[in-house]
Amino acid sequence: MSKIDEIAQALTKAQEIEPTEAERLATDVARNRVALVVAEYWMSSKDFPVEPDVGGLTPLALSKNFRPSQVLSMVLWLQTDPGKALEWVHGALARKARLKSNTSHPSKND
Amino acid sequence: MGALDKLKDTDEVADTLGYQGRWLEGSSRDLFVGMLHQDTPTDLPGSDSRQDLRDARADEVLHGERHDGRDAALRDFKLDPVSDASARKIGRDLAESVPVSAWRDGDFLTRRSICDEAHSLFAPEMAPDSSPPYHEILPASSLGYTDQFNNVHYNSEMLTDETPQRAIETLAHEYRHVWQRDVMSGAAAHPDGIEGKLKLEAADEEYDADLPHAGAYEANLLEVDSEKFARLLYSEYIRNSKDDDE
Repeated sequence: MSKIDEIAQALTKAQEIEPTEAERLATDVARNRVALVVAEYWMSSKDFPVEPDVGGLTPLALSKNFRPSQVLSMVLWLQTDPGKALEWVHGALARKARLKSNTSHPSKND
Repeated sequence: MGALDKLKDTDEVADTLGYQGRWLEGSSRDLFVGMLHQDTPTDLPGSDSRQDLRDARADEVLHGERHDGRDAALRDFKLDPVSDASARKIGRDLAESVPVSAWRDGDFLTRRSICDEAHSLFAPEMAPDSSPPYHEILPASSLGYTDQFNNVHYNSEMLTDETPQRAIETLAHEYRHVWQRDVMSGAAAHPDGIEGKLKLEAADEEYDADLPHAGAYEANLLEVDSEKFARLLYSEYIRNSKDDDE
């Protein structure tokens, strides 16, 4: 089994994800040395590693809030464009916090 | 088309426009840091010419391509009229309060104060409950981000910049995100009403994608809206900033 197939299969087993999406991500991961190491660590230990640490965002920390596919996506982005990744991660965290909170605020412009 | 189109070489740009600058690449918002407003020739015949230069630089900030992946999305995007007016007003107020020369002549602490001053002008218009921004050491290509608690963080490296462009644009961009979140949570109203809110929420859902497709970040409405607001605000800022020696 190729590395791409191995990663794609692990993703589809771990979460709900379209097979084509899993294969697309697995292909990107297999091409990136750092992401590949992270993926291999995850597949063998069922947990994510604490490295690389980019601005406090480690794969392990990301995995507390994001699906495996999202963790691997962010590991890729953190290699290529950490600024973009930081904005995306915090945007996603804010979204989760907002959805979790059922508090409704009256509009200030009402 | 901006004057800097397809010009990535600093010398080529300098020759073309007659002023110096440098490209800051690899960031989430690459930009050409021009120095027109700080290297303005001192032998210009009058204030009209100085204003012409400021206008040219402001137009470049707003319409010039930056080759950062956002050009196409920004070209076709228009802010709603209320937000457009708000960005322009904050830019003018900032120019009145802190001329560009204050940054140029300021030290690290002065520039940090300018960032706080910028927030004090942003807040009433955009994010009344927001805290002043936090400066911190971020990865080299990261300009800033808004955390899940709506605190704005910016890269302290920008405080060493020769112009306030990256800092002011970044802060305006990030506080616009705070406003967007207030709209989505119901704490603020979108000028376009429910339609505007729904569009922001649809863009917000993209943050949940398993693998954001190429260009997803740059084309995301939340990013395009923030970036347009930031560039408009900064362009008004430098258009209206009078140097101390005038």
